[in-house]
Amino acid sequence: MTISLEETQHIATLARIALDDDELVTMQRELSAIIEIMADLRELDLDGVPATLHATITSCGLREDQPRASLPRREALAGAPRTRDFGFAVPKVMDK
Amino acid sequence: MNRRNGLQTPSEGTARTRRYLDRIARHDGELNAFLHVDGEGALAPAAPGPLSGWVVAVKDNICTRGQKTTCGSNMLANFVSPYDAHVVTRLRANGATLIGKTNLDEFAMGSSGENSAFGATRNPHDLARVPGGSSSGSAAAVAAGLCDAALGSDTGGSVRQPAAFCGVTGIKPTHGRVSRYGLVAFASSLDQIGTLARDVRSAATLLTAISGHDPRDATSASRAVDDFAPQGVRGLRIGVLKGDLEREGNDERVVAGIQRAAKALEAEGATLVDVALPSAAHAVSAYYLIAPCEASSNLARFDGIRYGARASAADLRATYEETRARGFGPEVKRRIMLGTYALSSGYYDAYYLRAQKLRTLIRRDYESAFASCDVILGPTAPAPAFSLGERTDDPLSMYLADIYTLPASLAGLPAISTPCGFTEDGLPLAAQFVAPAFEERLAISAAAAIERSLGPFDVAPRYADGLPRSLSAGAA
Repeated sequence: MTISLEETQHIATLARIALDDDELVTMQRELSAIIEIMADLRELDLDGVPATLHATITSCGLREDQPRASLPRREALAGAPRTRDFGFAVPKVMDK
Repeated sequence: MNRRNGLQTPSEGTARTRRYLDRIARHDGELNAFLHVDGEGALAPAAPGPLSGWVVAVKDNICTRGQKTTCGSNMLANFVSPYDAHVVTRLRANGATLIGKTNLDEFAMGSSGENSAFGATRNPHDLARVPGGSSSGSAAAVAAGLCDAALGSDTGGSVRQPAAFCGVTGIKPTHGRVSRYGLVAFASSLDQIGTLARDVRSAATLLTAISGHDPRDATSASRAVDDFAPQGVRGLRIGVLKGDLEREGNDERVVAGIQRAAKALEAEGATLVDVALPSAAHAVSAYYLIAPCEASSNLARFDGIRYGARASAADLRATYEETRARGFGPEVKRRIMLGTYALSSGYYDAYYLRAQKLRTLIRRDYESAFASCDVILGPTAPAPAFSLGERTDDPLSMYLADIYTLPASLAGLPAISTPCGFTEDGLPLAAQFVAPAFEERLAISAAAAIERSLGPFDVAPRYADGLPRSLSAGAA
């Protein structure tokens, strides 16, 4: 396996996805197989080749710095699973 | 504009919409192409415009105000869009009737239509086969005549490959040609909204309507929009990807179809030249790093706080982890994990950066090829539509089959997939044309030439009965 079980768990933690033991083993196997076929990339001579971050744009245009309407708060909150007063409600993150 | 096939009166438009609604009610039970049908909205009067009377379906990762946009995911099963995507605003302003939202692989990740949380879509040409993906519902709805045309999104082939499997035309424009405002992001440097229709001219007309600059998408091109209507191909130089046609693993019927298409173009006055894209052989590796890396970042927003479902858990961290564990399906989790891995400390240079460098080599290959030709012809997919369930346990085999659509995506170039015949058992075969950036019309013209000599390619035979006539000027 190219990727260890511990690494797979570490990635899942970084990605904030809970995986049970079976899912972890399956994920390790699948990720390893996918990474293995990407070996061709490591064998290519890419020294001195610049990276393409975006194919068709070289710079982003700037818009006029003018005030404009944004989504009304009520509508912005309408899809949230829980709201309180004028914001998104989340489980407590601090003790006090 | 030639309106000889156009709509005569508003009541004729309503009658047309009703016929499509009836067809959806009759046929979509077996196809599962639609996730929501908006009968009431579709029957409301539309603005007058060049798309008056056109009944259009929209992929369910494109926001439509006041309606659900699920992305084929449990994460967004009840999400209602607070605004219209730019393309939806454009469709409404052009007079189109929006009939509903189409099924897709979850968050547009997949090549078969089987990754939807709301069930797989079936191929109208053979219900035991996949329609392709990820714009599975859009392609199936067009092929079965449940609408005139549809919008899809194409990140690595998600408009072109289902168009090929379902026997319709699909256009992926140049990256930046169409605003992504209101398209739920998967891989932002690759995502592009495209069009699907039963004939080339209709797909081109729809593309004209949705193209153009939009300040709300920072990557939107400020180019003037061409008229994308097809022109003749006399003197057009067609580059044929000989290497792709000789690649091991191709279905020979696909290869024969491309050769037939090349001959048809030659007969119409185009010239054929051999071209090669040597670095495109590595496109699968580059794409399946770049797209998941971008996805791992873009899909971080689905955390159960601002929209979508939330799993209740003891603390914030567990809320995120449980929400994402329950909300995402296996393919989405796989890609987020892959992208997170490739961007994680120690691997960035080995994977993501090398993939971006390879992207430069692929762009250079296209530049060289376009020195000797105007448009490049090759297959859209290595084989016709495969059976439902055949590849669900083998994600790698699904990735590898994207080999022919990925290079144009990585280079940001416009591409079109158009039918070029059928197998003996009635499965559609397709050809793909890739053009230089912002030269959509060259690819569209080449596709139209094939349609003229090998077509017309119309609705899937089992759904031919009672299809409303096309409103597209010059359509068959």
